[in-house]
This record gives sequence, structure tokens and C-alpha cells, in this order.
Amino acid sequence: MALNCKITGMNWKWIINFEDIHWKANQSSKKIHAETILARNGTGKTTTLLLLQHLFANEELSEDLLERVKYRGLLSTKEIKKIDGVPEFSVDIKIGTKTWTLGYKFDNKFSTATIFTQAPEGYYDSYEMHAEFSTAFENNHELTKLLFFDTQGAGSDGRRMNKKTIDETMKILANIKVLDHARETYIPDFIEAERKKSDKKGSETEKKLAEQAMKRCKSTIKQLNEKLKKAEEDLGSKREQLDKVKENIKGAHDNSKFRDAFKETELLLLKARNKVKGTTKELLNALMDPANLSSKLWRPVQDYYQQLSKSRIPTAIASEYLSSVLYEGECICGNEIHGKEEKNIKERMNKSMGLAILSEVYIMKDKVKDSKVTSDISLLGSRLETERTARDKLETKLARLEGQLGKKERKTLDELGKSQQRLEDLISELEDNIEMYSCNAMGKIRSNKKVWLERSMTIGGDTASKPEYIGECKNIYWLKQIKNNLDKKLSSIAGIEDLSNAGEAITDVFEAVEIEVLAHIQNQVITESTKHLAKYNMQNELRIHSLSNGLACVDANGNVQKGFSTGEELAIVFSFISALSKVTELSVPMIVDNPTKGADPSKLRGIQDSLQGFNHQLILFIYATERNTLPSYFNKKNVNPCTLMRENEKMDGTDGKKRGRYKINYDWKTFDNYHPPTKEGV
Amino acid sequence: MNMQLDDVVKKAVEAHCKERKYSPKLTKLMIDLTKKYRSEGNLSSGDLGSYLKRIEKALKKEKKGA
Repeated sequence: MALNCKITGMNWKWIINFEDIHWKANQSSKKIHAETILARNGTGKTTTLLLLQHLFANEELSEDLLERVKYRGLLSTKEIKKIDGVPEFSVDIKIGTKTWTLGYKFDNKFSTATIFTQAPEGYYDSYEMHAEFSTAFENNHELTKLLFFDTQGAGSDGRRMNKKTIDETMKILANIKVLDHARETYIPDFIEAERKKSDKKGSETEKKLAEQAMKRCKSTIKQLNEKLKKAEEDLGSKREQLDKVKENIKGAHDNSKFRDAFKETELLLLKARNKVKGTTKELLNALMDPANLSSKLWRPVQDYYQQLSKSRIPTAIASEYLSSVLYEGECICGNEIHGKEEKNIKERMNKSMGLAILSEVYIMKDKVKDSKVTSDISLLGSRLETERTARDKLETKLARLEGQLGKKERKTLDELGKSQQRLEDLISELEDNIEMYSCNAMGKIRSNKKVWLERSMTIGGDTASKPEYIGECKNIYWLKQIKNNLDKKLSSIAGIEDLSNAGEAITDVFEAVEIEVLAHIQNQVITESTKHLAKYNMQNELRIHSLSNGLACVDANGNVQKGFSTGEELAIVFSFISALSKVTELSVPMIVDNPTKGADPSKLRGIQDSLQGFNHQLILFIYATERNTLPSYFNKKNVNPCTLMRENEKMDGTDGKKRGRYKINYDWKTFDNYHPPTKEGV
Repeated sequence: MNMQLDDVVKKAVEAHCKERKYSPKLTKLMIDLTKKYRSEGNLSSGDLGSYLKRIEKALKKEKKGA
């Protein structure tokens, strides 16, 4: 792919709070690859980030986002009466040696946004980017969300790096997504078109029934895809709402007279919950190892395998070996094999195991024979009990503290608590539904057959063919199996069975390629990212452990870590992007909005290390107080400065009689001395 | 194009075709088709049809030979 791109400019025209400003990269130093754009809270930095996420992916803007983009600025102070130009947002992107400008033009009511491209060869009212740029970014909102990083949702169970995002990003960047499209859409569509053209062989009734089933199958797949998309969107918004509710609960605690007691109890509770989680996992692992069963139960199993080892296994011969003896026609003793010997060997073959099973049995008997107790289950059980009691006590303490608050505060917290519970229930329901629609592990699908498949799976485990039974299916993967079988049936009726087989052969090849390439990239990225993460000096030696089910990290002790701090998540995303960039020969910019917002002071060092360790272009959107949280980072050695402020605004953020338009400053003096109030306002 | 990834793709096609005991001719067709999709993004109906017909023919021939 070898894409090398960089953002060289950003232009805001009559949107959010900006009148007409043009930002350019590298105004202070050409060598430094990190840019910092400082503006007061509420000016439109996050909205800009959202616009960039959509713009790079060529996505339509939602009504909510268009509302956010609407120009308010000097209209809100009546300093101007109407906007003075066409509202627009655009980015200058240098790819190789040439520059493209990609942007949105808005109508004056901000009800629509039209994408445009100023390419080196001309202007287009559409997304006409460099081919390799389009391959990487177009329709890849998951990647743009990863690259243009809003720290607001960071640290939330690493959900930003889920399986779908990671797999889709890797598939697109490795240029194998196209094979996925081919086997899912292009090839089946072609065969269907051929079927329609061909002279039929089967009966009219047979064809009609199969076509009705296919129609139902396709419409059910479409419905489930829509439901899945909706559930995923709802899940995202409910999780955001839940984060907000939790933040509000924390805010209510922080603003109360028991602030310190709340803080201390919350911290202890967090630790206690983590301990319970860790020990539960340890206990589960110990229970899964049969060697930890009581010797009364496990000893007889070991004895049995020892007996098996002595008396049965040594005499067992793999059926493949007997088969080859038979094929050679000569016994190992040198005698020729005739009728009687052949009959004996065949009888023995029927009683023998295959080589694969036999070798498994050999391994198993050794494992059982040598198994040793790894954990004391009863000790783990009592440890868990103690930890649970400690956690429950802290939860009671927290509830008591809340009970001591004033009536109004209690009422607020009570309402927030109810909202939290309601949202958690909704999230759990949405997660269950998403799994039901999208699971593709056949074992799991079968075990949920009753609810997920109903009569779309026959008693014998085959795909149903009656339309009404197919309509009962709630799993997309199973519906695709039904569709495959119906495809074969229809192709056979149409007399194009061989063409359909050719399509299937290609589909199998493409699927094998996708699996192999994904596994290769996962391994490479894990190796590379481990090197990168080492630079970030992570406190608990966090490293990427697996990418097969989204991004999973383990700490130095090998414990899987689900939630991350902002600094950790930044470091992980930086490492992932750096590693992926190397493996796929890609250099892309990253933008981080409010890198230190809400970060615990103890984590600031980690964030600073993350920022310093990133070697591609980095653009940071910050507000003034963030500059002070990382004083040894925001300096001439690391970043190019930029300050957005109004023409008549003083360094303390107070306005002159006329506020004036937004302007851009690239000097260090303004960057270092601009101290507007922290509250939102423009 | 990333040379290392191109190589992984080629090897994956070859391994799959070997497992299925496809002939070198059919394997080459599969490699070409994969390469074409990866470099062009999509194929015209005519191109896809031509590959499908050639693969259909090769598969039939191999089935007869087996």
C-alpha cells in the first residue's frame, strides 16, 4: 500500500465559532512532527475532530453533527448580523509530493453538507482522493475514530479497539477487504445473474419454492443487518450516556462535603473490585484444570490412564499403518498377504484408531499421568470470599456516605443510580442481541439454537428450506449457510452447477487468504507493538497479547487487562498504529483531542511518554490548562505551537468592546501566556 | 503494494490449492485472480465471468482426471 500522508493545513469558514481561519502545519519548525492547537474550552475542537473522522471516511454527517457545526460565534453577541460567506471545513493533505484539499461545504441553514475535493488535477464535487488514501480511509470510520482520538471515551474497557474495529482496520490496510467483498457480494451476484439467464433443468415448482426461500433468506439477512447496525449504534450511545452518568455521580461526590471520604472510599472500592475480579478469574482457571480436583476424584482417573498406558496403548496401531501394510501386499515378517491375512488386517483396522486420534491419546495419557496440583481451590475460594466481604463493606460504606448527604443531593444520586442501573440493563440486552445477530462460532450458535435459530435449523442440524422457518432465524452467519445451500440448489436447477462450484472454489481460496493474512498481520503487529510499548515505560509492563478477538493486553504477570487509563490507552493506540503503519507501509497522522483531560496526575508521565514516542505526524487539540499539565512536553523541542483567539481578546481571556474575529498565532509568547477562563465560552 | 504482504497472500493461495490438490494451472488462475482483485479493487463482469469459466473448466478437467 505504501501510503505516506500528512495534514498540512486546516480551514474553517463560518462554522462553529470560527469566521475564517487557516491553520498551517510546521510554522515554527519543519523538523518537528507534532503540532499543538490551543483554544479555549468550547470553541469547536471536538466538533473539528468529529468532522475529520467523517471527512476522511467519506461519511455523511448526522443531523446532530450538523447542528454542532452551525456557526454561532459573533452572531450570538450580535456583533455581526449574518454570516459572510459559504460555510466550509477543509483539510489540506499531502500525499507523497502532491497536495489534495478535502472538505465539506454547508448550506447556510446547515441542513446539508456536500463533500468536495481539490485534487492536483482538478476540482470535484465528490470524494476523489488518491487511490491508496481512499483504500485506507474511505468507509473506514472505525480507523478514523482510532486515528482521530477523542480522549473522552478513553479508558473505557478498551472498547474503542474491539474485534470489529481491529479486524476491519487490518483487512482494509492489508488490502484484503476486497476479497471479502468479492466472496460476499460480487461472485454470488454474478452467479445469480447467470442463473437468471440460463435454461432451467429442474421443475417449475421446485424452482419456485427455492426462489421463495431465497427471497425470504435475503430479506431476513437484510433485516438482521439493519437491526445489528441499529443495536451497535444504540450500544455506543448508551455507553456514552452511562459514562456521563458515572461522571455525574463522581461529580456529585466531589462537590459534597464528604468529598475526601468519597474519594478515599471510591479508590479503595476500585481496588477491591479489581481484586475480586482477579481472584474470580484465577479460581475459574484453577477449576478448569482437573488436576486441582480432590485426589479422591482425580486419582482414579490417573490410575486408569496409567493402566491404559501399560496395557492398551503400547499395542495400539494406527489404522493408517495397517492400511499401508495392506497396500504394499507384504507383511512386516516378509510373507505375502493373501485372503486370510487380508481379512485379519482389515478386522484389526476396524478396531484401530486413526493416527490423529491415537497421537492425541498418547499426549493425553502423558498429560494425565504427569499432572500436578497447580492451585489450592479451597484456599482460592476463601480468599475470594474475604475479598468479596471487603468489597461489600466498602459498597455499604459508600451507600452510607450517600445517605448522610442532604435531601436534594440524595435525590440526585438516587436518580443517577437508577439511570445507571437502567443503562447497564439496556447495554447488557444490546450486547446479547448483537452477539445473537453476529456470532459466527458454530458451537455457540448450536448451543443457543432454541432462541437464535428456532426452526431454521432442522432436527438433524441442517439448514431449513421453508421460507417461514428461515424467517425465524436471528443469526446472520446461519442465514448465510442457508443462502449457500439455496444457491447450490438453484444453480443445479438452472443447470449451472459447475459454474457455481467454481464460484465456491474461489470463495474458499479468498477466505483462506483472509484468515492467513489476518493472522500474519496480527503476529507482526504484536511483535512490533511490543517494541513500541517498551518505549512508553508502562508502569505494569502492559503489552499487547492478542488481536484475534479485538485488542487484548496483559500485564507483567500475564493477567489480561481490560480497562485502561487514558495514558495507557493512548500508548496502546499509538503503539498499535505505529506497528500497523510499519507492517502495511503506511504513514498516517494522528490527532488527539484533549490528551490530558480528566487524567489523574500520576498518569501524566505516561501520557507524555506516549506523545513523545509517536513518530508519525501528531496534532494535539488542547485548552490552556492542559499546557500546564505537561510543561516539559509543550516546548520548542517537541511541538509546533498555535493559539486560536479572538482579535480583541486579552491574554486573560477578557474581551474588548468588540470581540473581533478569530485569528491564528504561531508564536511561543502567545502560546505560553494565553490564560482564558476554564469555563466554556467563546 | 507491500511486497511482504503480497508474498503472504501468494503463499496462502498456494497452500490452500495444494491442500485441495489443485493442478499448477488452477493454482496459477487462483493466484492471478486474487492479485487482480487486490490491485483493481473490483473486476468487470466480463473479467469475473472469464475467470469463473476458466476455473470451472479446470475444475471439471481435474475431476475427470482424478
